[in-house]
Amino acid sequence: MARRLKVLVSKEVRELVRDPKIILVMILVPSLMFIIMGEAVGFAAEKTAEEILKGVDTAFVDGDGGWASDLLYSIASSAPVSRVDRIQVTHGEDVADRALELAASGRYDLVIAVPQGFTENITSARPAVVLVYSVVRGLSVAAGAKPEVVTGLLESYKEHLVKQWLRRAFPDKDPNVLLNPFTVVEEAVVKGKALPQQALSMLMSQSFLLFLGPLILLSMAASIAAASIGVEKEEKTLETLLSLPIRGRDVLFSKAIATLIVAVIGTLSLSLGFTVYMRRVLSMPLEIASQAGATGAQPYGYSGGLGFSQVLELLGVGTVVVAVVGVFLSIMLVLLLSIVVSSLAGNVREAQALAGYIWLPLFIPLFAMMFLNITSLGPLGQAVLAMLPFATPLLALKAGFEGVPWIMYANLATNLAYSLLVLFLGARWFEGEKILTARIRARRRGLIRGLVGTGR
Amino acid sequence: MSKDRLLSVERLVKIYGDKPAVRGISFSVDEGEIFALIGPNGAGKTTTMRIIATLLKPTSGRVLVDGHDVVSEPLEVRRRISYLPEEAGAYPNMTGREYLEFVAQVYFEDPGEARAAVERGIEYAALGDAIDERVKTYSKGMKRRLQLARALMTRPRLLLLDEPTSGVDVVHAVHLRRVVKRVAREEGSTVLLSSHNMLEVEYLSDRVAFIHEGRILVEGTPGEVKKRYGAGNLEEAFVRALEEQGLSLGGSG
Ligand SMILES: Nc1ncnc2c1ncn2[C@@H]1O[C@H](COP(=O)(O)OP(=O)(O)OP(=O)(O)O)[C@@H](O)[C@H]1O
Ligand SMILES: [Mg+2]
Repeated sequence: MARRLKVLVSKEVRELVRDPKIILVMILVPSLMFIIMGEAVGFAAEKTAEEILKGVDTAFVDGDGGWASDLLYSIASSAPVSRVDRIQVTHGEDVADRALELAASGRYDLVIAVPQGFTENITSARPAVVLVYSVVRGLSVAAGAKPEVVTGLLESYKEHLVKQWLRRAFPDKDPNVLLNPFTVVEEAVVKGKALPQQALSMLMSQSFLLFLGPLILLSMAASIAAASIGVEKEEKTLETLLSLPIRGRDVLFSKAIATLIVAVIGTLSLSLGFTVYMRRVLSMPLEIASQAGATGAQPYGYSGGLGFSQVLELLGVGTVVVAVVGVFLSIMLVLLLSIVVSSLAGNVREAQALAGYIWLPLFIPLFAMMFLNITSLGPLGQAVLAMLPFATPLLALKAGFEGVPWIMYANLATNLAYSLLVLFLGARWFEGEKILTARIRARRRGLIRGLVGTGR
Repeated sequence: MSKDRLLSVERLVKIYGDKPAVRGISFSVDEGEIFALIGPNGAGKTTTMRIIATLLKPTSGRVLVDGHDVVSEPLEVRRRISYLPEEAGAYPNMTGREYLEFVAQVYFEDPGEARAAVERGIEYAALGDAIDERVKTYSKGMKRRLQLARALMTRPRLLLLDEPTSGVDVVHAVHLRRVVKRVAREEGSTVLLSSHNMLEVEYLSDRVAFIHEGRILVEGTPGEVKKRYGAGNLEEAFVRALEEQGLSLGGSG
């Protein structure tokens, strides 16, 4: 029987990998998607840096004419990327009006306006105002980052003034220390290990992938499982197949094994794309920081990342193993469910519609899980969590962080039980006679109408 | 039960939901015999074949293939049969040869036997160079020839052929009928077939049964049946048999 199963599996795999749609959906799209996503984000970042390097056209509207505005002007024009036009305003003309006019002209990215009396106010330590108009040309990161480069300079100007005062008031003290009496060194402590806070934030910011990744993976798996049974119905090969000297359940087993093989290839492809993406995303802030660094501005203020070994250490090897096993178990469950359910379809399209819907409602609760802390749930909530289908990988990562490992083992066990149950029921279904004739028909409108048992 | 009775169908009943499709059919086919089921659309031919092929469970009655019960020993039965469904296709992304290889490997453990079966299949299908092209490029008739060749190449004890040559052109249909006859005569395979083509039935069958609304009206050699209705050919005999039932044509289905 093992020999026949092998023959069946190899037939299934061959039929799947020769289908250009499967190759596209399972192998190319998953990796390309992430690679393209990474490239898109990287491209945006590069564009931002490029925009900044192209220069920021600044109008400096001077209604003051004192030393303080002179200093501000020289600081603003000291930045290598800024081109500053200085516009003197005659007495009596409104500085704000003039600045707005210039901003509206479209010639400038930024207009800095210094009202009359600025120097006087600064000198006598009275509240003074500088008006800054940034011209917004779009809703992109690049559009926002550009004026920031110059406005960042205003901050250093402020510092410069304060230090001057401090030097005058406390000639024997270091103004830098006075200005900044202590430095905050921030680290996050996870399970007794200290990690750079920024690296952790970066990791958290990508945590949507914990939902998106499995979503893509499982829908891929459902899609190939549906194709593998849908084609039998569409091409009318199932009747012959079931009459061969094999058991009906061997058809289910061989399809499960074959689609698992293809799904694992898809998973590897997805992981490859994901790795490329993470590399790109993690390296990106560094690029920008270094390119924009000359100006003193730090659009992202991030440098450094978490290595794989650090993540592994953080989570614990046990957690990672459970997570990986959980991924395969989830794939297996989706495959089995999809094969069994889409055997009710009459063709590939119907099969994929059925397989596409069946597991989504089961998967949706995972979305809520991203925002929950396991430990903040009551016993009932935790029990529900422990029984959620497809939850093992995500739960393992969370449980690993929160230090409640029992819940991931419980979830692993329930998911194993689900798979075995579907396997058992599926085997019976494939041994029965309804597999040939049962059909859920898709209506013209594309809705699914339940009609089990008597189709011809 | 005599020793050389390869197929016996006893008071077979099949009801779909509450719709009876087969209402107590009994017949038996001896080893090496070619037996044809003839009947109008919806008579219950395919249902009977599917039960013998272990794909459907009978509502009541008993079917034995080479002494094995189709319900309690389906695997034993499947090892002895080769079933050509009424509507059957092959995997679109395989070549014809690969498809035959796949089926042969399922049937035969010995690679040599499997290879010999594939060679026979290729000869029966007579597809020429197309045998190495993907099935999705085949015409309807080419697919049918591949299927029939697939069923014949394994030299089963019992061949179940549901409308074997439907959709096949005249020349290839003649070739395939010769093959069916040869396989039955030379390999000793027993054949149960259904057909709407009376020429085919007359050429192939040792015995025929007329089925109507799930019941057998008459059974015998083509000669006996023709004589019984005083008909010159099977087609005429069939029409008269139905008229005798008080049925006008087209009133069933
Ligand atoms: N899956 C099914 N569910 C319900 N009724 C069915 C099913 N399959 C067949 N029938 C009914 O059973 C009866 C016998 O059908 P069957 O397919 O055995 O006829 P047939 O003799 O092969 O006809 P044809 O010459 O058209 O192939 C018909 O009335 C048909 O409508
Ligand atoms: Mg039929």
